[in-house]
Amino acid sequence: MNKRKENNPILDIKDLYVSYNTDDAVVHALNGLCLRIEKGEVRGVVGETGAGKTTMALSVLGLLPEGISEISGGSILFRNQELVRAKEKLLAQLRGKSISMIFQDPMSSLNPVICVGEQIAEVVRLHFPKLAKDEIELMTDEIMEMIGIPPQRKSEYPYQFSGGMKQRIVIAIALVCEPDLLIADEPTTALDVTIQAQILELMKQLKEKLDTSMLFITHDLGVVAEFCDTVSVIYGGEVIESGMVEQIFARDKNHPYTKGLFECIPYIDSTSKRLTPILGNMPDPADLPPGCSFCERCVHAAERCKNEKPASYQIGGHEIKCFLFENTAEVGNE
Amino acid sequence: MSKPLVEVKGLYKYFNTPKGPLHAVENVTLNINAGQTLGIVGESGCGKTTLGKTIMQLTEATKGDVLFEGKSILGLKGNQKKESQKNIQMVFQDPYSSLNPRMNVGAIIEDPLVVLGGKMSAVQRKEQVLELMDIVGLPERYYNSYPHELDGGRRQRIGIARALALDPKFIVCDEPVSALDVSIQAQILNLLMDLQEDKHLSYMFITHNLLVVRHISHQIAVMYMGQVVEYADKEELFANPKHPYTQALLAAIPMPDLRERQKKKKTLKGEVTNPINPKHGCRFALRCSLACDACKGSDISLIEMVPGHYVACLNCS
Amino acid sequence: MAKKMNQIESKKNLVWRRFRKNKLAIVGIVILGLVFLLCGTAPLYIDYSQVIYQDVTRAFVAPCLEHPFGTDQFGRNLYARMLYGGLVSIGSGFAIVTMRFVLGLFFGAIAGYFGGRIDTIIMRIMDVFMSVPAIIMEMVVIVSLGQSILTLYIALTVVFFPAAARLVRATILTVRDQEFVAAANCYGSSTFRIICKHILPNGIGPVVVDAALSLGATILAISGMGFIGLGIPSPTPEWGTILAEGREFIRYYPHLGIIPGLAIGICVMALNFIGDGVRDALDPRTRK
Repeated sequence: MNKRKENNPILDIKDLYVSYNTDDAVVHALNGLCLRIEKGEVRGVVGETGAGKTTMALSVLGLLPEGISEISGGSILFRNQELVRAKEKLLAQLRGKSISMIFQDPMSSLNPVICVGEQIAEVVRLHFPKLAKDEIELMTDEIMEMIGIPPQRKSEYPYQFSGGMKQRIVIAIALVCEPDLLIADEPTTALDVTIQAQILELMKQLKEKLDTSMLFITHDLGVVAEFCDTVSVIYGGEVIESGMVEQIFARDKNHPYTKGLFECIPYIDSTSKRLTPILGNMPDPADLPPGCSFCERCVHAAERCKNEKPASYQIGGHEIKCFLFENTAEVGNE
Repeated sequence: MSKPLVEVKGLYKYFNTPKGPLHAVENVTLNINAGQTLGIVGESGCGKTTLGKTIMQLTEATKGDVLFEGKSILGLKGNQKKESQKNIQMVFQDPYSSLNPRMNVGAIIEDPLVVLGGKMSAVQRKEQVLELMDIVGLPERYYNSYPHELDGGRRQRIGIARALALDPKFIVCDEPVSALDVSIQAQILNLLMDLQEDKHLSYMFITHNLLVVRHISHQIAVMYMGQVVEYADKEELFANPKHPYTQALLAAIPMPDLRERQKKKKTLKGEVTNPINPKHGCRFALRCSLACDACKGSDISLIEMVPGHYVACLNCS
Repeated sequence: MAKKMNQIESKKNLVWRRFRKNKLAIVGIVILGLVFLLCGTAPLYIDYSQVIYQDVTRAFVAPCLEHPFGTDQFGRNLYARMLYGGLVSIGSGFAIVTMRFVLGLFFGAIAGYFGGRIDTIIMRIMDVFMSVPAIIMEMVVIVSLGQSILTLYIALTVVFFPAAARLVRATILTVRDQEFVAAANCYGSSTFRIICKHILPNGIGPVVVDAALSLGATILAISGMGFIGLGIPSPTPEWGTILAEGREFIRYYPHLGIIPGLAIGICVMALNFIGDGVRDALDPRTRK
């Protein structure tokens, strides 16, 4: 966390707009999303279903579904290279080598008919075609040791491993070429809590060893508190709050949505009988309100919120998109 | 002390597999009191869902019994079975597959009344459905909507309304909020708790989420590989978890609190295996730091360590 | 979430839209429409007596104004025979597909829902039926029961319903384990009710599509039986029988072979175009 170089972010998403063109309506999945990751940083991205987290992850790697999706604005800079509308060849070179991704479901992330060692080796071979066979094998063995699976098991098939171990293998495949950025889309959501703890522990160790920057998508604030350095909260396709994890979890200044998220989870030491849910439902991305996307559910909503979109207000590195904080800080750049 | 509403006595459920019998539920004995919630918590493979299904008679028990108001419900047939089914209902986990996509909301909630509602007329049934929708917080305008038109939270409300249709006294809730977003989870949990208070309902609340189970339960049973390894009142369980597995579960929960970040976490090693033809002795021994030779010998039964607090472990304090 | 809602809501529109884009499928529908129109309206202006009226003095007349399709060896009006024959061929096709569908539904549903030994017994019996070559089986049935329209229907149903049963069973297996079926069990629904109200409505889609698609093949099968002389007995007109009867004479009077042959070919082709169009339109891979 201290090794970050300011103003030289590894990933810089600026004002990203992504929409899906379905037959009935245009679904505005991302609406001016801004996000930065510095080198060596683990940024947690928190949001609920439909907020746009997975769309954002897929946009970075150019994996949005063809034909119906459209990046209608904004830019994605990876090490100062523009990824929006980049050539497929460039993106293919980046995937697996400079930017890797791991998904939620370990059961379907692995090819059932290829042995695990081969699946790891395949990535190496793709990006380092000139490496000799035994060098590739060495890299495979090394990464398997790192993830805690004995290299002797590399000739086994995915069905012979449990869910947690499959996810480790997925992580190995993602990290074997030592990418600069790892995008993890809810990697522990489908796992039992004790296995989740193991995987998070593993990811912490790997991050130390390889100094990989991470974009860690989750809906679990507990995981964010344990693992992430910085946090971005996504709602309605944009980042409504962003900052260091200490700032967000200090809980003295938060976007009403973030506050609502904190208040609706049952705590280990809470004594109140009822939980405080966030009223209402997520807005329909095909029919977003003109003003603040959260205003219909917000207890602090004013007349202004319905028609005007708040800017992102900065308070010493902590950005919040809400008029409540307009006077406490200067307007930040988006 | 009044008699419990539901008693599970020595329940076993084995599945036949080519490799041998899978001991999904092993000798489970539990009580649920009227108006209270028993939380069943455990990870995948612990048998909690199978336990719920066996109690609901969706699958046949291998051995043991379930009593409702003192009378056995497992061997019943015909009309007697139907009468007992009115008392015990179930809310399912997946708000997408637990509703028939071809039936509208009204029809789904009405269906139990059509089957077991006796001599109710169509008008009476519709009235009842509208009342149920109101109780669970579903606006009347959704009566003719189809499940796919509604989001997860509303769909789960439909499932709850359906479970309430026959006015049961006991509801088995199988992970009813696990598939929902946190903000919706809170709404549904509140609803379930309000219903419990209003109607003096009893729940068996099955989940893998310890924080949720703590919020909603009065007593909690922790299951591991088909067996109950710890059972206590909820406050007692969280204040003094005795079984090493319970302790590991609690330690593994990621807390939304930065103070936890600095602490070095002791993670549980190993994985759960399927209990096919399991050997005698403690099933947690392989992963347990306190394991000794005695643990692998004979089966460990639940011992009352502290009044009301039962643990199946030889070596815990 | 909204994405999902829109997708499912407009699924019917989506399917229809995709179907419309398939030119061959539209051609198929147009052709079939014409055939239905011609054959369907025939009884309005052509009396059945014309179909069987024989006038040997006017045999083998080539297509002309009076007899648009000419006459056959018995001097029967081929145009009338073809139009009524179309009704018989296509009508029989529908009848047989329906019978197959119903039988397949019955056995497939029972095998799929109950599983276990019942499933095994039923499926092995189906396997026995399917292992005998279709034509042989049909011949055996017709010859042993005597040739008539009914025995033809029975033969063609018996030979092909096992495939339908298989399909129904497969779709039921996918639906049977859904939680809403378990829910129905929780409030005491009878097995019959669960199958009829919960399982079948959700599993029937692919089965209906399959039934529709097999119409073309069925008509071909009917014609095939007619061609080998085991089909619908004369003088009831049926395209395959007409073709068979004209077989000996096509050297000198080609219209007796070409016309029924073309009719069968065009119809089956049209049905296949439509069938392919339906299948493609429902294909999830091209789904948005």
